[in-house]
Amino acid sequence: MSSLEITAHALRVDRKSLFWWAIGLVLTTVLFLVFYPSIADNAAAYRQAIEGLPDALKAFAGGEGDPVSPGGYMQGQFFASLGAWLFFAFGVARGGRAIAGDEDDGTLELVVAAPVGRTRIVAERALAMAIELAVVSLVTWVTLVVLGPPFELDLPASDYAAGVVGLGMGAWVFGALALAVGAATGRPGVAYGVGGAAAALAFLCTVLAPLTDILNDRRELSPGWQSFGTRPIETGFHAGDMAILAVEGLVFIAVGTWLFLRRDIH
Amino acid sequence: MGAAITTEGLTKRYRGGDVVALDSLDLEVAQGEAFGFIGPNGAGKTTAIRLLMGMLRPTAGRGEVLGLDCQRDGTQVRRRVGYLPGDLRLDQRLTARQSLTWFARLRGERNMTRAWELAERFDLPLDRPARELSKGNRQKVGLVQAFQHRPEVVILDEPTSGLDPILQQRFQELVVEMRGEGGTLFISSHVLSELEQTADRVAMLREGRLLAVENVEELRGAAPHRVTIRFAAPVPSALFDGIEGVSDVEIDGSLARLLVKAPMDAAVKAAARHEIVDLHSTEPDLEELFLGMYGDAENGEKDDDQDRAVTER
Repeated sequence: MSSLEITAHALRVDRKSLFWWAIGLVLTTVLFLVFYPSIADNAAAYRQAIEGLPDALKAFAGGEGDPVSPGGYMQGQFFASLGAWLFFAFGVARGGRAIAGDEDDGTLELVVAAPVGRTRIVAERALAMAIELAVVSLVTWVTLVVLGPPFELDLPASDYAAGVVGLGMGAWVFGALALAVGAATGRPGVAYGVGGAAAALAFLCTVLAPLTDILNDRRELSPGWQSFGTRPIETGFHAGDMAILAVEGLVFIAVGTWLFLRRDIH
Repeated sequence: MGAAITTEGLTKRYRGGDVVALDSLDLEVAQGEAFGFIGPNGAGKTTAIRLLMGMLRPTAGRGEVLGLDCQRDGTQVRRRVGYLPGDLRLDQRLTARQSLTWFARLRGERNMTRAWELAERFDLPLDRPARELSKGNRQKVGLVQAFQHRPEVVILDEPTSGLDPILQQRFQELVVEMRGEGGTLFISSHVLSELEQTADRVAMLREGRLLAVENVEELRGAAPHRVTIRFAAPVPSALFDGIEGVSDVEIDGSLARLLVKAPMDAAVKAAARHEIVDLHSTEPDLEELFLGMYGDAENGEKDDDQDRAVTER
């Protein structure tokens, strides 16, 4: 086999579902954009309302930054909130589906019957997932850059890029984890479960980290920290953090492949 | 010619050894041979096939296809082998045409001439999505993909299940064609009768163990035919007494029923001394014969050495 047939095939058969995910993300993003002008108009009252919240809820509303500034609003309402959930969920859905989903519905059988090594199958599926994450990230970024300014959210395109890349790389980590667990076990339920639980845990640890020293002293251990905890929408692109996330995903995939090579396919 | 498929002590156990799916299988299938693999569901046929295809990792022993190790050189093995899974699942979203194109691309093949030719021969509707295909049509997709790259060896797990008689005929033609090109066929079935016309030799598998390997022609030759003769008038009941190869004679007036082993000459000549209205000879039921010969082994009365002695014959 000469070219990336497995990647190409995965992208081809997934394109409809990718389209709907992208539509969903665009609509969600727009939903947060349209609320901003009314919040900015009532900045004082909004600020006061958030100040009055218990610390735990305050953390969910954006943490330490100014919740009414464009960057603070986007961080609190989108990047450290529903945006992260959707990105991570997309990654886990794609990763869990890649090997375990195909094995569960029986279509992996004729792929492994072809003259293609298992390492290659995992690598090409991981590549397809990475490409889909890039597409979803690009669509989200374009939405923010084009539709942000009309709603008074005219942040630099590079900051939007930093924020979106952070989410995309976070999704890569949890997607890679789900893919690896799926490759190791062949069970999509386990893959989705482990990937989803890890994503939820990382999300909560990062959002709630400021509340307690136990979490805060170790906040770098959560991929959520590198993904959105460093507030890339305000602080810009963190190359080192992105590299950490990239490597974490690759390590999951390498371990998953190692286990995939040693087991029976059912 | 060398061996197309060899297994040595090929064993698969599950759950820490408690469940034995395949117990030390020793087989040798020659190149150009059509080899049948018979046994009831759960006998270990699919396990053996999936070990050869590299989907399962053996607990012990090894398998070779065309001199290549099924585990270590699995990719090279699969390049030269066509495979039909026992439980074929197609991507529901794809049409037969898309599925076949995808399977070809997995092999680096872009020329679909042979695939479309086979599809036409099997009368396969190419542009309907898999979810709308009948079991028979899905099985056709499986057969086309197994043969479309002109493999040297095909390994088919229950290939004729779901096929109507006409398609079984088409399948037989494909088998004959492949044999004409020197190809090797390894075909499993839960009934011997499906393979009687196809296979040179058959292996019988029970509960993970190989009972015997038999040459179909010899088996057929050794087996008595059931012969029914209707005479014009009642015949003496001692008509077939002392005639070689005859047994189980039942004579009821002008009707005689008997078992006759080939050659039938003596029996037919004895009968021909009387006026015959009708003579009917039925092929032996090999399944029954096979079970009669080896059915006891199910109870573990046969030991491994005996199994091997039969295998190596």
